[in-house]
Amino acid sequence: MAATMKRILSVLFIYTSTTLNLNIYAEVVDDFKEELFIKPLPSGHVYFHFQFTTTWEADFENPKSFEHYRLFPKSLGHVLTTYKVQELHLSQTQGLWRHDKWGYPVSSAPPGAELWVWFQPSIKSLDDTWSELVNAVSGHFCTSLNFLDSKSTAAPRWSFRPHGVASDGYSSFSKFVRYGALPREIVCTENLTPWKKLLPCNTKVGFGTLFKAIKLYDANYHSLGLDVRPVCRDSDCKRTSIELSQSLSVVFDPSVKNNEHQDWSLKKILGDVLSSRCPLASSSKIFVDTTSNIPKSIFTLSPDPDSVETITRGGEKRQYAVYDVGLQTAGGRVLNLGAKYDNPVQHNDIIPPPIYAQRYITGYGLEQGGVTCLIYNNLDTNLTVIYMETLPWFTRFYFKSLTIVNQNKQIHPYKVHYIPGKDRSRSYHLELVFRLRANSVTKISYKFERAFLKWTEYPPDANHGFYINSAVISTVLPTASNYTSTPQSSSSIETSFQDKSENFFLRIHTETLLVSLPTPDFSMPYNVICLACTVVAIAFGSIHNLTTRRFVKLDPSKKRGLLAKIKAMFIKQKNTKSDETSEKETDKEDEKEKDE
Amino acid sequence: MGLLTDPKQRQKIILAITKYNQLLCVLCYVGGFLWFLALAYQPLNASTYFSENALLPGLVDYQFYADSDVISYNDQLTAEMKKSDKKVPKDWIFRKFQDLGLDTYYHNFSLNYPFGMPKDKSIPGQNIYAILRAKRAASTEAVVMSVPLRLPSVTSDEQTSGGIAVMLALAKHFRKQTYWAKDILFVLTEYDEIGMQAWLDGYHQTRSEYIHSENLPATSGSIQAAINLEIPSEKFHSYNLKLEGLNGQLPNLDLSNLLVRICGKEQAKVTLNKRSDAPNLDEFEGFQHSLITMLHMMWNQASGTPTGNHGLFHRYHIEALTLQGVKETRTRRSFGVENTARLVEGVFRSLNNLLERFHQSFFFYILPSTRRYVSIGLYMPPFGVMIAASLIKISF
Repeated sequence: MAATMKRILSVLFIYTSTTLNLNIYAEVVDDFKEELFIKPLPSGHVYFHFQFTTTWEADFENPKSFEHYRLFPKSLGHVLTTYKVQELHLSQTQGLWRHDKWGYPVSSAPPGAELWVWFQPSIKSLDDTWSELVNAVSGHFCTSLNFLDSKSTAAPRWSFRPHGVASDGYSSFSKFVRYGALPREIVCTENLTPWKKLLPCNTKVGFGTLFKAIKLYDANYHSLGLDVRPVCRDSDCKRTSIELSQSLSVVFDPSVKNNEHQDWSLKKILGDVLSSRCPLASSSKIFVDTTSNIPKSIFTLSPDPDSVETITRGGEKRQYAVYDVGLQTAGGRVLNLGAKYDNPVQHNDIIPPPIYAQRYITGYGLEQGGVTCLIYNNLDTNLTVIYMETLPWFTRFYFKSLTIVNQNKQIHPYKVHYIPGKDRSRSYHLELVFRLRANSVTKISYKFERAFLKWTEYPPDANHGFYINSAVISTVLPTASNYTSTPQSSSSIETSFQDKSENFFLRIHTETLLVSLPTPDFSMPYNVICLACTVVAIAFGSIHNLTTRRFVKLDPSKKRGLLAKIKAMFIKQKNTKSDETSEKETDKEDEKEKDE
Repeated sequence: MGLLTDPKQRQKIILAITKYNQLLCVLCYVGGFLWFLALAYQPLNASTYFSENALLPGLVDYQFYADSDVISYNDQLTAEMKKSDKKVPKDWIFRKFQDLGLDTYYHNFSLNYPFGMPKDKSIPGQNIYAILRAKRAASTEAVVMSVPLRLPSVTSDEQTSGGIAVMLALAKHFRKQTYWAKDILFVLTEYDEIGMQAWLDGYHQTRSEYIHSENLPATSGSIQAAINLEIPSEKFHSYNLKLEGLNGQLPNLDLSNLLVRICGKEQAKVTLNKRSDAPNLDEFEGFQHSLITMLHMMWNQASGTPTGNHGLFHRYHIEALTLQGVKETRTRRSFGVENTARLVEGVFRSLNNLLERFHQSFFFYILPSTRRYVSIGLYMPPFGVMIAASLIKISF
């Protein structure tokens, strides 16, 4: 009887627990896709872009949806809920993206680290939350983002609008956004490891097995990206999901060591072949851009692709070779995707993209300087751009020296947003909206003054210089020439194949600048102390003597020996006192005489 | 400090000075002058040393083994230059740099020569420059290797085409390496210093009165150092270091030490003003030799004109010097472009190590020999004594 009761109870227990579990699992709906986009560039480089997209049907309005996690990383979910983050965009980059030779990346990132965050409207004290958030993110990803304090943070008004779903009223308030960048941050394996850990399959199976730090950090450009934003759940867009997009962009140069032939393969470039597919991914694909093969075949891919897609985007025809990793690695096979080129690289016929920029420091000397940014517009139409600059407080910007010139004609910006900086507390923030003429070069230049820092504010390598953040240029292109970014709706690369839009949002980051400030010789504090002490020690005695000397009558006939002189020094005191008293008496007598 | 307080003592001194005024002035002046000259004597000056420890000269093994490359470039360039006597083969050089995969550009400028030419006419000029982008860096810093382009018809000791071959071979070698932290700019200037000033004007957006320079098509970061090469295509026997710049400004002493040390590693003879170090520095002949070397350097500085293209960089806080290959009549061990390529590779490896600009060593010095220096702290006192002569004269 007891045994059967026990059995019934245990069965009931198991039944209820499984149904409860099923319920729990039924509530967490998320989807994970892993994609690799390979684009051979005309300059002989090859661009690899790993894209990991997790879409999670959780809602910021519903806090209960943040209680259970499946594919979405729990640590990141905690960060989002604790700091009331609506959108978070972090990028860590080594190297500079060469727009004039490589076209446009899928997502643009400046050298160093960049973090921009949109907070939820229900947030209370935003600045405190921002400083707590940067500390949390810096610990999470092993970067020094905690240096993003009020001195380096800005609230851009037009340049960094929400990338995900947002209401009009919310997005027009720039008080919910914070932007900061650290140009000097270095990316290395310590940053790759926590980033990799957020992937559902980590480095055990799937694309994660291709992440060999020794190859990835030997590249011409390496960028780790993390973007969290709300996206529409379906075409009605009545409800939103949270999309986590992790991207790793690397650019390699196989032609350098290969006698100018651009032959590449997964084994040669990344160090390993693909032997498995992440089972948690709903789709695991490789896309190779074979558009350059269209009039005449320049390279041949091996193995043959599973399918070839020809699409038209923004009036430009593109061709992609698609590989399904599951099919290619089924049955124990390995995929060593590669391409062989017939001819060496031609370096002289690279067509630059529609818009690109170049920025450099002008002037010489350690008192003043200038910055010039040249923006090249190769389109046949005029284009409106938003130009954003954040200057540190020690390069004091002269707003009246700001000039925008195009073919020797001054251009007046449509809108200007300028917040002057304050020494040691706020940086200079400038946003300009102006128009670029067709087929021309626009030159923005301004002057600044170099501040003389206090001697404790210099870093240990003071003569290296100080960094100025890269400028951000945002615009909407009418053509998709060289354009590889994904459309607004999703970060997955496959969705860009069905992109029927005619306007393409583009963001470009320019170079970071290194500026030398007037630096003293750091042996000077020691020299100054020595000199000051010496002067005081030597001069003090004589000056004191001069100012407090009393002249006493001496009888020259009475010559005294040394001993007598020393005695006289001590006896002098007594004599002066008696003299004083006698003088006082005589004074009093004089006064009495006067009174009388 | 009785002097300050005792009027009688003061009076005594003043009397003495007014009485012997003439004698004192002459003594001060002559004494200062002789003291100054005596500074070239070895026990009175100091031996050079490296203040910037990051330079680590010659520490890394040389990796440039492609002697055949540089010799073949040299032969090809000599053949190209024979084709025309009045023109430098710029297109050939441009194409060679471009084929190596570097960003190569032309830079146009014009000169309004103020003497003997009508005001509206100007002489056009064209520089070539190529940028080797450092593989893993973000183009925030750069170092420059420059060669002045000279016509094929110049005398053989003014020729610089060997330097161009060195540049091409090193560009090919450097491109394969992954350790560069700074971009390398290869600059070839026409009309020597005029082209160099035009290029610097374009890079820093400064203005010169007579040189009109157009904007550079591409730039890199802030330049940390520059090496100018004047190497002929034939074999030569020694390397001459030229340091003096515009208005007598000198590069940081560490840069000169770096070149001397690396030339020593290559067992090459280094000269200053075409005078090598005397072997017996502490004897009278050695002293005489060092004195004349020192005076040559001061003479060059006093003229105010730079002795090479490097002199124009100093104004921009960029340390630069010129390495010139000099032929000698006495047969010695000879050097060619392959030795120069190894040498320059060593120099650039050291420059790559720098985290900060040159700031540790002296900026004001005079060199009696390549391994001895007289710093400002040593040559200012004799100068002060000479000036004291005039002070005594005017105050009493």
